[in-house]
Amino acid sequence: MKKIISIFIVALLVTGSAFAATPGFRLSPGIGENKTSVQGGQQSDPGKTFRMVRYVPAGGSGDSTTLVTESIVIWDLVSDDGVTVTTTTTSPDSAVAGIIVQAALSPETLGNSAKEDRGKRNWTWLQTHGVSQVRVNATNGVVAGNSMGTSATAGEADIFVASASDATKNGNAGFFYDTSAKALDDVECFLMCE
Amino acid sequence: MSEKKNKRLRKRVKDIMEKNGMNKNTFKFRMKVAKRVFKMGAITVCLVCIALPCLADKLIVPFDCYPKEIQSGFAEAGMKLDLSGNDRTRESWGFIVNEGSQFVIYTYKNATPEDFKIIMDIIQGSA
Repeated sequence: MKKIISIFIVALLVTGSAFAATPGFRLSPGIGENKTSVQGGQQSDPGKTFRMVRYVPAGGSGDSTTLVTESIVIWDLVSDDGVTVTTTTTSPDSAVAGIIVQAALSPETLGNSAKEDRGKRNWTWLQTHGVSQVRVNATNGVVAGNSMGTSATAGEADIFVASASDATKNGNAGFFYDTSAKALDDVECFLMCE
Repeated sequence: MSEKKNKRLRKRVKDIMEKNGMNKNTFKFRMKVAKRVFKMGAITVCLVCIALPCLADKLIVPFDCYPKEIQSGFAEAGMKLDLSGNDRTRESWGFIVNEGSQFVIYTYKNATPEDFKIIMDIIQGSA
């Protein structure tokens, strides 16, 4: 009994000191260290970073399909604005941006700039850092700890293997937390695009 | 523990057992259960203490903004958005930082899909 009480008191003291060691944290959560650690130690659920982005179909074509959640996307090289994302069939694409966490609708008018599309339906949330879930491609299964990148299927993730000869194929988006068979959704991963 | 103290403790235990009509085995069993409950409680408290501050998210929006307008949009949706982390109260949901061409919302706990929808509506509505 004494042992348990001692452990409990020590645990409380350690937690208390940790709060004190990061003054201001409780007033300003999310700032600075939220990405990797708080309280001077590792955290169980690291903070996540999201960006509001604009979605356009690949190549700005007339494709009008909605992009489903958990799709891995790249920064759009046609728009060149840092707020527009699209899908890719390059594995692993160097322009990888992150994972869509809210279904993205296609634009009402193709060819608009981000400014022209402000307030329109094709805006969504892109996760760029932290624990997430992704759709795994239909060609390869993945193993926990494998690096993650885009695949040859739009919106689906695959194992990332760096290319020594093609600079457009070097986009490492993070790593897989789960081992998964091919063509599965909800596969846990850790994003490191920011 | 000294012999004297030990004797006194045994006597006290015996008294408690007699008072509650327990035999040795029942007393041992109850002590075991109490220990386990206490242990589980202690572990739960420790885990909650560690997990509570780990749920903050950062939401970056690539537009300029009028923080007070965003704040009132949140208020209409029933969420309290502070203009600084130092304004935090128990009802606060998060706070906004204006960075000129973009603004950042820091949440005090994990943002849910419903939160994302609400924020998107507020931001798109203010366009």
